[in-house]
Amino acid sequence: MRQDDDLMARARQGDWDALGTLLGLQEGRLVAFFHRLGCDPNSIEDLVQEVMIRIYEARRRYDPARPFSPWLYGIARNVWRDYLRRQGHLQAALRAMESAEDLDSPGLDPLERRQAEEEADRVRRAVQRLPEEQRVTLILRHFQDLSYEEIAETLGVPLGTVKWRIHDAMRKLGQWLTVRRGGGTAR
Amino acid sequence: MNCGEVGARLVDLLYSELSGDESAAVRGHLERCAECHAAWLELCYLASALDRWSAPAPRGITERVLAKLAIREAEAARTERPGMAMRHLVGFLLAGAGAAVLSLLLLGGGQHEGDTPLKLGVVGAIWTILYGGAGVFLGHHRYRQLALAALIAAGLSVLFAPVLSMPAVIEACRRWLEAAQSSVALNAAIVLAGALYASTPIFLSSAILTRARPTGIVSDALRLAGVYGLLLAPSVYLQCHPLTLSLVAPWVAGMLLGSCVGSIGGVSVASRLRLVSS
Repeated sequence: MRQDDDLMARARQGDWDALGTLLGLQEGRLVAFFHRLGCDPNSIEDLVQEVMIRIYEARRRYDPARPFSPWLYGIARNVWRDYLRRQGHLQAALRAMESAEDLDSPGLDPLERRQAEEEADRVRRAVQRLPEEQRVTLILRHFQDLSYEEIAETLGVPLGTVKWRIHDAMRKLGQWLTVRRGGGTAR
Repeated sequence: MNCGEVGARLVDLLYSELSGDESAAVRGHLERCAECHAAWLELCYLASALDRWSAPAPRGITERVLAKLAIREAEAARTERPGMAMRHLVGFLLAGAGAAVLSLLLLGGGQHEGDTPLKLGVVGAIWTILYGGAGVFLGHHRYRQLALAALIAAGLSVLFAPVLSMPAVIEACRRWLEAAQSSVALNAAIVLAGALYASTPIFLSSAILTRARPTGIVSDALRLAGVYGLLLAPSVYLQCHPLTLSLVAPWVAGMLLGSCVGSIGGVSVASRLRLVSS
């Protein structure tokens, strides 16, 4: 991530090549971030473009003394929330949050070994059933590899809240997916 | 460290969020406690299950964004006023000073009664600022044509000015203006003459040079008339200052009227021609 900080500091000074390299490095991360947040695949490119354009527009306001990742994901999260508002998904997300508490019931029965795609799909559905803030926090930690501290800065919440969200999310996922040794997950 | 304390730290261990001592203590407990070790393995399996949720590969989004941003950068560079750069501003002011000196010479500055060096210096300085300021807008893509039309029209007016500035002409004009004070018809003729004098150059230059938008004729024409009127003001002053304000009022009124009418007419014609040609 240190490379990102250096590139962003140079991009802030007007270095076009540094900006291009930086955006190129973020593309895969942003695509994965929005994908795992459950965005419509047809909208992901627009969302990634929006984040990149906001980085460009806000580059002079970036504080080079601070790490880049929280700043990046702060922008990405705002873009995602705008997307939810536009799509009217916010209500759906809230409904999902309410219903998440009911998911530790027998809905997830044991399964035999499944193919990797099926398992991934189950993981996707389970993660997307997490309450919105827990889902974002877990994705930032597990998939985007941000530290607790960076997540706290990104989301503007205390460190303890980040920790609790991740612990609780992992507890719920463990129950819903009924993880079995050997890598398989069960219904 | 007991089982409850270890259980509360397993997720932090997974994500390398424990200090060295804490991590060693938890790992030590895991080696001794089968129950906690099983919970740790469950967590590791959950993490590996999450890892199997792959994301789609990037799709060349960066290249498309960079292309868009490059267009925006070029657009920003194009719309940036060159006058904002100090060297450009100095360049325009020097050109403006040259045009002001030339205008003063054409108008016979210093040959008329009351043309003191101080007065000519003040007029020259104002003219420099006006010419230089109009020149700055030559670098602005939206106002470039209007600024060019105003500068050329002002230049044409100044080229005709020496005739009006000749002492014999001024004397004839003085007699004419004095006679007009008691004649409405003569006053109207003077207004008309002033309007023709001012409107002809601006009409020609704006009709040829501007490309007014069909929906922006009035606003563009008024901007043009304003700039042109300001550029003409010093020459009008130099021509008229030997005479009293009451005498020259019809002439000045005619020039103001001509500036507006000529600008509106020229911009309208340009807009019509543009529509026809497109």
